[in-house]
Amino acid sequence: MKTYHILFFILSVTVFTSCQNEIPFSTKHNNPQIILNAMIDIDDEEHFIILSKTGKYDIDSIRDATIHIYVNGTLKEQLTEPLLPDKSILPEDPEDPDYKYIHEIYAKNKRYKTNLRFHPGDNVKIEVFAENDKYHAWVEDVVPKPLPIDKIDTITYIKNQNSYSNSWIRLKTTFTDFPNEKNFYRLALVREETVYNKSKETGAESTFLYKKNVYIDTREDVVLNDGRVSTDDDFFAQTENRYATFDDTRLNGSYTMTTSFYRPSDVSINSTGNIIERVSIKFRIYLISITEMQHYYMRALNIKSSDDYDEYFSIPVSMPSNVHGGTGFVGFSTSTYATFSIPDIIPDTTNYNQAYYPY
Amino acid sequence: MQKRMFITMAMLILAWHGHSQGSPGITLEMKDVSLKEMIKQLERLTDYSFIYNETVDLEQKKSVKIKNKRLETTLNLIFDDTNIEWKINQKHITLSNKKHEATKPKVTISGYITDAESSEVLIGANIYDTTNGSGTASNEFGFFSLTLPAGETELRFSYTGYAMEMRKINLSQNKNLNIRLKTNLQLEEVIIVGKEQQESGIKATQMSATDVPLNILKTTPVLLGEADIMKTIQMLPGVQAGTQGSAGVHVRGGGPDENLILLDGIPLYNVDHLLGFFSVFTPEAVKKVTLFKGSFPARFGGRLSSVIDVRTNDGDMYNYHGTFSIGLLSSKLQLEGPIWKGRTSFNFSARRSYLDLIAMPFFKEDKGVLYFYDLNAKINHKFSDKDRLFISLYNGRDKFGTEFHDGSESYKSEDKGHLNWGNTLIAARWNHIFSPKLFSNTTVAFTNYLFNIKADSYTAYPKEYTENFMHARYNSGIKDYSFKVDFEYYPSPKHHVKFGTNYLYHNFKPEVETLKVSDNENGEVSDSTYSNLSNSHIYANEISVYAEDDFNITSRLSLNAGLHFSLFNVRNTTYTSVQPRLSARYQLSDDIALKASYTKMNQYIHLLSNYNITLPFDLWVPATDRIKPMRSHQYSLGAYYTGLKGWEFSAETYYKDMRNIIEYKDGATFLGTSHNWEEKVEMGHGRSYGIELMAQKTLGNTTGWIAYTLAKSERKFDKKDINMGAWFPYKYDRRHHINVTVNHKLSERIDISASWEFYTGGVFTVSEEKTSIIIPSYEPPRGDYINLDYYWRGSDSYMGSVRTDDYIKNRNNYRLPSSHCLNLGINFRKKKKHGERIWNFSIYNAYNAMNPHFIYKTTSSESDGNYGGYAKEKPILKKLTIFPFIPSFTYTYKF
Repeated sequence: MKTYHILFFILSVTVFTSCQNEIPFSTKHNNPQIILNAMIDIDDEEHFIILSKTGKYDIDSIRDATIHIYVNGTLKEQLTEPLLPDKSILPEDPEDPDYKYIHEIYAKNKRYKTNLRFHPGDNVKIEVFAENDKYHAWVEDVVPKPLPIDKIDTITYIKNQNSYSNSWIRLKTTFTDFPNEKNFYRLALVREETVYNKSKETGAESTFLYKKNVYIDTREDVVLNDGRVSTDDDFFAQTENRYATFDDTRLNGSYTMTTSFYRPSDVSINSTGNIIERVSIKFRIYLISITEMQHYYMRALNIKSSDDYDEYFSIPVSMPSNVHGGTGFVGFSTSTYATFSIPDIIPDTTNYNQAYYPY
Repeated sequence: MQKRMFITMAMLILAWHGHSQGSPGITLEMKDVSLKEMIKQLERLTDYSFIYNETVDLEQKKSVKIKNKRLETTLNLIFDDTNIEWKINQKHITLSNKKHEATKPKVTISGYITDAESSEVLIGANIYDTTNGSGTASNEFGFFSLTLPAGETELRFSYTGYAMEMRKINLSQNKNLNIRLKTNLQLEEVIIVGKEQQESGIKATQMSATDVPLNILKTTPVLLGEADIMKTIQMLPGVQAGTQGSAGVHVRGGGPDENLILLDGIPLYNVDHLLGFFSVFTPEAVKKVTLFKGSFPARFGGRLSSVIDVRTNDGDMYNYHGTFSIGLLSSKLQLEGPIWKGRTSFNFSARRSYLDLIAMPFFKEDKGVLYFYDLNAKINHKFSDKDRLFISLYNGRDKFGTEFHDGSESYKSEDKGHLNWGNTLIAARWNHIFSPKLFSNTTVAFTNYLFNIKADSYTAYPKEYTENFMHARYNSGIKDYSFKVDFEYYPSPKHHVKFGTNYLYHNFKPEVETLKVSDNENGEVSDSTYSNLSNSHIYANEISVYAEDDFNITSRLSLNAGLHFSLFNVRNTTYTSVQPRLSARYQLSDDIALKASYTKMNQYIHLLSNYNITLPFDLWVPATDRIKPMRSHQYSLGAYYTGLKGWEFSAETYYKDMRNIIEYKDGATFLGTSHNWEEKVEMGHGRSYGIELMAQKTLGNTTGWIAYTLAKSERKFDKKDINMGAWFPYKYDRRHHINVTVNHKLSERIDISASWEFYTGGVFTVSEEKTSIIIPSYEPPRGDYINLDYYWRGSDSYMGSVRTDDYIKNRNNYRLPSSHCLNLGINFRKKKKHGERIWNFSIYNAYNAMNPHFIYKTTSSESDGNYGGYAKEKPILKKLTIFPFIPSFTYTYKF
């Protein structure tokens, strides 16, 4: 539809002699707001809470923050020290522009680490005081319970895209929604690749592990698209559900969700000193239980990254926030997963100038 | 015994020059005096003497304030609410006790009031019995009924723009009387009477109802010289356009979907042409337009904020004539005349715009269409004085299409796209007079609003024997089938009862998409058809029953009390609503009236819109089991003054409380699809309140008005997923709105007009600051960049999952600068051999005010020195002004 909106607009503007002018953008002086961000999946061993302040032209750093974490009404942890940049990512020379840049990034987005373990059903409250109590913000939510994946099924097919044919995998994920309650979920796919190398010079063997998030095409599934499935050729494009978020409105008991993703089938060639003997690829599909607010947050992210978003006609997207006394978003999630593999990729060993780059 | 010690009396006697019609009258102001004192005073003022016997109680006390009234009216005012009746016999006035109601015979006089030349019925004409002091007004079909005591009486018939007509009638039995009023161009000589059961205007019991003056409508300068009903309505207090220049109507802080727009009593859903800048109503086809913005009569229901009742011409029963008009935007033709003289008439009007012809040079080799048209046709047949039949048709469409061609020897492509939207309405109405006191109107109607897209694409590589076709179709709309019966019952001059029922069968077709793709490779054809979106139709039943009585409790106090009951059934869910309507009018003095009203309204349909202006893409959807019907309670108070001849002053204040109104949740839009819309919106609470002032000059060579509105409209959603549950301004909230509209007749041949509008800025959602947003650890890569590195959760690169973004603190957080616009026009009229020609020249936005139609945020390349030494782009707002200074002309020929 976007094509038509634009055509419409251009035509209108052309027909009626239009003028564009700048108007005063006299923003009032708003007091900075504390920004509290975190995405807490209880299966992670460590969680990061990120603090900063809103600003007129850029975010600002916050000072002297104390974070209180309550679980079911009991104070479990108090965080005061933000993390410093890891030395491994810092240039050795302090005069290096990157050195300054990384420090600046860390100063503006102060990270606090916790290793607290949360459990489904926990009522978690994260409360922040900063700059001598000038700022006080808090968020409170209940950790959703995990939903097991009943089974998965895959099939490889050939997909024509822009005159090219590629192998794709159609993934069917079956699960059974909890009855009589409102639930929100999202899917995520991670590719774990083990690359077995052999040095060209010494013959020494080595192994590397890569983990990558994988783009999943959600357009075929009714639930993931509010009932409106589409195709590559879809003239009436809609906002793509890139974050694969959904609710249980259209679920009634067991449901098999259909998604698809690109199947890696070859390795790239590079002139390093290793020969790739084989690549072992394993996929992990996550079914993540999320909160209602997180569902809308993900939808907003979908829209923000959509090509259909139009600056003239569309209403600006306001990111949902569940932070009281400030802004930002704290999501709690619980995930379950299932794994599957594809046959190992054996590169053409006659070519000695190759190295694996995950595709 | 003299009881003057109790009398506090003030008498102002100006003049008495007999009681002949049209001469100055009696002025008398007496407070708390006996009737005897009053008649003595009258005897002093006039040549008349009173005759009465001892049984007539003249000791009762009363207060009167009479200014320049005829003798009969004065007597009515003095003896109203008493048991005394009077009779003038030469120079004597006889007083006697009233006969008992049961013994006094009553007769009813009824009929139609029409234009003398065309037989067009006149809506809202006044009928006044000067003998008994009672009166009524003709209804929307020109019918009136007045029950009076038997005997000789004098009736006065009047209507704005027509010469008053007096009839002396000796009533002994029920009588049918059809009155044909003659046009009177001398407006200043027309006496407007009529407190009598009008539904609109200062004299009506109901408040916040205005007849849109058609003379203002047709002469006020507007965009591209295209006279427009909706734009004239926007000039009234309490009404505003969403965007300057648009035909959208937002009444008392309500949304664009909260207006019940009726074409001859049948609701239309989308009345916009050309992105909402023009409305579908052709002024030449329109006879009367009434706006109700509060105190809704009980027969109306289904919308929260306003009723716009548009009545079209029925057609001349005796003569053929018409109007032809050519302007910059469109040309119009209107024809009317008899099919069977005195029995059957027709009225036909057509309009077509030709923007596509103007825009054609921009298309170069490609083709394009962009136009709208309207067709109105009406046939009116009079079977007898008791039965009339009307059959009407309206069809209007907007069409937009493009056709692109490209190619070479080895490649060919064609792309065609068409958008098409509009309304079709077919209606049949039957007026039947059951008795002189009971009038009925039965209507059967079908309406269809549709919006569709057709897109076809063809690509071929002849050398490779490859072809590809794509056919895409998108449809949405609503079909309504309706049946309604309305009755009007006139039991006595003090009562005007209306009752009836309405049944609407809605067929919503929210969205249907189909896509057909066909490939031909070396003769091998493969077809695929997708029904990507095939929303099933949603059927709904809406039934309403209403009753109301407009009655005069005393000569000063009148009340309109009504009840509207409605039932809405959709997908096994049924909603019912009982809506009381109450309005009261108290005549404080001859010139000052006070009004108060309370109205409850329910609305069973919602408009899903994702844009800042009303577009045909917007979808109408019904209330569901989850999204409840909207409802409102509106309270209004008003004061009115008519003491200055030719002027009307009004001040009204209102408070409107709205429930179950919908808004998008933060982060939700309907980009691309309305599916699952119930999950994307939230129901909430709205309130709007304001003061509306208006001074209107209705008589003389200079007419027009000054209107001022002070208003506020807000929304609040208790759940935290919209604006964190806090109040925020409604997107059409504007604090001040001033409108000045003036028409001046320089001579019989030339009149000039001007309108100036000023309104403070509306609100707009824009980010004023920066924030950081968090991206989940499983951030999916984009499909088209799948080999980019993305961060794995838990790694030190996790910092990359927070990014700086625009921060929108509140919804509708930024108030735009004020807008203003001056429009000027001049009409040159000349009588020709077969009619009249009119040249209209107008200038829209005469001083080229750069008012914003669209606002967007961008950044300037200038660095901001305040930002810590870094060269940061500075955010700026840009406005797009679509309508700067635009001159236009229109040529009209009436024959």
